[in-house]
Amino acid sequence: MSRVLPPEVPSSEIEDPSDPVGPDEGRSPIEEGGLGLLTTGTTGAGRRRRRRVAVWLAVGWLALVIGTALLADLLPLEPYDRIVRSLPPRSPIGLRLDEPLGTDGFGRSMASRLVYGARQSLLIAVVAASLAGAIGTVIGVVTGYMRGKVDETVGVLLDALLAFPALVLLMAIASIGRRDVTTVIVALSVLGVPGFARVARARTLALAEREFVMTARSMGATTWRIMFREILPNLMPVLLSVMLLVLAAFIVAEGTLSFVGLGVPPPQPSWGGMINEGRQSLRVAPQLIFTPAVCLVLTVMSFRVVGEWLGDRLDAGEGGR
Amino acid sequence: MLRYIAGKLARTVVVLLLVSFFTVVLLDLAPGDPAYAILGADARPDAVEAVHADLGLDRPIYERYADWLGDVVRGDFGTSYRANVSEAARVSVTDEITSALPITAELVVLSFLLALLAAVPIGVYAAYRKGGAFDRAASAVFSVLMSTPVYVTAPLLVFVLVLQAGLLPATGWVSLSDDPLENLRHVILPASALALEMVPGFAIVLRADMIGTLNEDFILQARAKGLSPATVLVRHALRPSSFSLLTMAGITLGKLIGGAVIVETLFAFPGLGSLLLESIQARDVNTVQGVVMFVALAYVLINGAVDLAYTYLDPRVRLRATA
Repeated sequence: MSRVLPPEVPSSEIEDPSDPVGPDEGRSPIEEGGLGLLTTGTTGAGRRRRRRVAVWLAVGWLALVIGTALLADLLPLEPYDRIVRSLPPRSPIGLRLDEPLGTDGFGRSMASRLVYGARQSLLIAVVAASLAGAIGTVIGVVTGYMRGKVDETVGVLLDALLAFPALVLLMAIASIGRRDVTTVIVALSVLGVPGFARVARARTLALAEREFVMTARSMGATTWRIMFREILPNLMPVLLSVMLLVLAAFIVAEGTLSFVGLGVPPPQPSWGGMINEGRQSLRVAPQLIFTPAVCLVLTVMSFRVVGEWLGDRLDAGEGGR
Repeated sequence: MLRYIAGKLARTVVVLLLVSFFTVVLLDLAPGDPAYAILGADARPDAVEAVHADLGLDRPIYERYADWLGDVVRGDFGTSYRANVSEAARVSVTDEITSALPITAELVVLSFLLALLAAVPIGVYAAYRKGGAFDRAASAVFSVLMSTPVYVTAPLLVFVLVLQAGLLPATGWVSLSDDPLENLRHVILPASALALEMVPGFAIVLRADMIGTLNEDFILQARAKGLSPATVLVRHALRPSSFSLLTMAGITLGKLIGGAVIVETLFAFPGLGSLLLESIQARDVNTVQGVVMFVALAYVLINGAVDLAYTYLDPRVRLRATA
């Protein structure tokens, strides 16, 4: 019963005007209007090829970042919180082979801090996005399938959550807890819930009208079973693409929290924290801010490229039957 | 139509009430006692209690909220109690907001205009020469820009324009009435940093709508009449293509306050963002409440205005709403 059906609704029918990551906005700039109707064959193929290269580069970079973050303990790195005795503080990039990225303002190894910072930033983003995804999806599926009073009440609550400027909400929650990783994760999760809930709700509304749901209902399946065994599996692909975009946004948001003094406490490195600390030596040692900044931008971009590519494949699969 | 507006208004009021209540609860949950923030860590217990009574902190949270709400309805947002024990020295939240608002408003409006100024020509031209070299280059640049947070863009601009080229001052605020030119020199860089984040979104949305419009019959007709491409693009195609841009602009304008916090902190501007950050850190509930309410209200009003603007831009929406 819980097979994943190929979606039958054209994507235009499941668009929700309030859907923040709707098919229109989620579509990438590169593939916009690239359904092959107006473009000539050669440019379309060329575009697809360039796109494929971009996706592969993104996947490669992500593999590198995630790999080093996971294997950080096995790599030949100095400890991230100790001074490298043999090098002066703010050593520039490329001075020595064993410390290729130099040292920071305290004389700590930049390479080590970048790798452990990647671990921290990714851990925060992944855990927070998973939490937000799980909670938001359940809310979205339940409200979308039940409709009525529940839907309206939750809708107003989510609206209120969205009417908060994101950073204010983030700051308010982050300032409640102790200054540690858990607080940052909780704050980001709350921030991510409405987005997931809206996407899940919009898709559930469309799926609830479909034959397989009616079949299940007429066969006496319980509401619970329909929501979580019939509808939920069909939401997974779209939620995965949203998840990747949310990961990108959370990596940025973690840095924002560091900037207002509510991020991961030092000496633990995180990319946002490193960018914030590097700001003080912008004049004398700009590499301290731009090395983590380049890593952050590349990672965010990679998550977006892969997420958008995935979203487009889903849209194409739905529209181009 | 009236029913529709009334429904929307009711929902807006509920949302605002919830926002304000969330804020009170959140700040109440936050650790740290405002009394100690005011008096210092070594305050005597009786002094702390006096401050509590003064601020109403000894009463239950719903009572305080009801009081606050009653005052707000009468237009009184209370007084800020940040670092000021004596009643006379306290500033009213309304005054604090009105003195910070022009700075944030200038920053936000300028960055918004800069973003539109860049995005509209880029979006229109990219749609006109879809798939061409310009279009491709723009989309590549956009994909980098969209992934670059303002806290990276701003230091980069400072590094290039201030430290390397020495063209602009680094930080600080000069008010518009004191010295308009100096004011512009201080605000242009932060505003550009904020604008760079918005340009891709605006241009991409406009380009997509524009491509749709350019396939319409009335564009073909306008071209057939022998009008120049520029006239067709600007006079005929731009207006019907601007709906998504308008929505996006409305949403973005509401969100800009978040970006403004970072930029104001980075460049030491005494705007709403700095005020908010400062008062959150000092547990100054009244000021936080005031600023959050103000921002949420602005956000909701802007979105309402966008809804109305639709009916102006596209008569079909007007017909549908009245039907």
